Amino acid sequence: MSPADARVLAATRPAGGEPVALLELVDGTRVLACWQGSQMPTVGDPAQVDGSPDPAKRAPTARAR
Amino acid sequence: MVAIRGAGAVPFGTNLDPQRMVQEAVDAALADAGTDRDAIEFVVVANAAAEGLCDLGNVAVWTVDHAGLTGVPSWRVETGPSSGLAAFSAAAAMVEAGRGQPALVVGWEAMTGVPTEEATAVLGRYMSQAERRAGLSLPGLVAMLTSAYQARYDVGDEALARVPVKAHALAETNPIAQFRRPVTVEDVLASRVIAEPIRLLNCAPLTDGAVALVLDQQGPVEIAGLGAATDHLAYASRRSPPERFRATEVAAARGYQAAGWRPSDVDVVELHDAFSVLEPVSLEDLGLAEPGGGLDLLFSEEDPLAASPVVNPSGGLKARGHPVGATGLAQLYEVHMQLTDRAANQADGADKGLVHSIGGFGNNVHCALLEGTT
Repeated sequence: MSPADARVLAATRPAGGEPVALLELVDGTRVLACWQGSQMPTVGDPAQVDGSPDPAKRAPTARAR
Repeated sequence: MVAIRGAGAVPFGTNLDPQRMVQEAVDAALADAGTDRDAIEFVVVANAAAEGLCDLGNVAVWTVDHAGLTGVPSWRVETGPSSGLAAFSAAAAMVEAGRGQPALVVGWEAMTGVPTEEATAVLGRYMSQAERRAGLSLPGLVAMLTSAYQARYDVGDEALARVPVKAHALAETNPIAQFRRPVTVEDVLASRVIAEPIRLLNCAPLTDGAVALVLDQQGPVEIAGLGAATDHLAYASRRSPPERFRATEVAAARGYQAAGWRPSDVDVVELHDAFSVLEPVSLEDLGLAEPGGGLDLLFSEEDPLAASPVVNPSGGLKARGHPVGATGLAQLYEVHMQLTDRAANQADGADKGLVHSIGGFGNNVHCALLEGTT
């Protein structure tokens, strides 16, 4: 899957872990993604999802757009 | 009609003996109901995780045996942290169907006999595997919802920190509460981060505790209505706003319809505040506050017992404690005490009460609407 445009619906950074974001793609699909970056993403910000959002596989990664 | 005839609970805490706390809760409920073991026709047991937390199986038999009720038919209900209210609903349906009465509902959980990391891992089984693979725990999922709620309604960490402060203040006078000491907003904000933006004191504790209720066709507190609903297991599979729990909205609507109530009829509510944000979110999902208005309702009066409705006068899951399989019954116990005018933090003139229990991350939600008959 090519990188997909999305926006951040919700986010966290577990203590000692990496940020995780709930993203909404432009078609309305929601994806849980591991966030590339040390800072917790801001809710409402645009994002770019890399890799497959297939929930049977590892969580996809995403980054700020 | 099905009613709560009597209720009993042990003081919640840590390192309690499961056998002893079950016995004591059952003794207290039977005494409150004015009946004895020989009269009980069936037992429904609520327990969420004895296999993982106590290395026990066949939990219904274990419970009736140690409660001194050997020979009485028993069932176990497990819906995660809403197990207590789900067991109550199942037992009520059985009484109504003529299966027998009086019946006993017993809920218990012993969570502190294993290391915290192990208990957290057991509770993590309530989540989807995709969420676990992404490195999330239940607090992590709630942290995500918190971030959405804060962004949607421009709510800061300090505003949410007032929620556990209220809980601890109320629990100080609750004889069964796990934490009978105050905390401050500063304490909450200085506690360690669990998952941004929530901190340790935003979270309910691990708790040992047991509660029992006697159900019958008559009693001082009648069941006016019950409602329940599930949602997709995974957060990403849902379509409702990320700061809402659709299952609570549906369960409450079903309960109100069954009882013929409006939300404004509720005098007192015990709701599922396993994390700070869930108190305002649940008030809104239950229709007791406008969207975004939960915190305003909670702090509308200087004395929380003067609010309308009164919210979590027990101290809630946060400070009374959260023995997951028994929590729904602990909430029912508190509302039963409120509606019989015997609560430690008594709400003046409370006649109608609502109990709300969530079975995981916004899933398997149960509601019970109760009315005093005296």
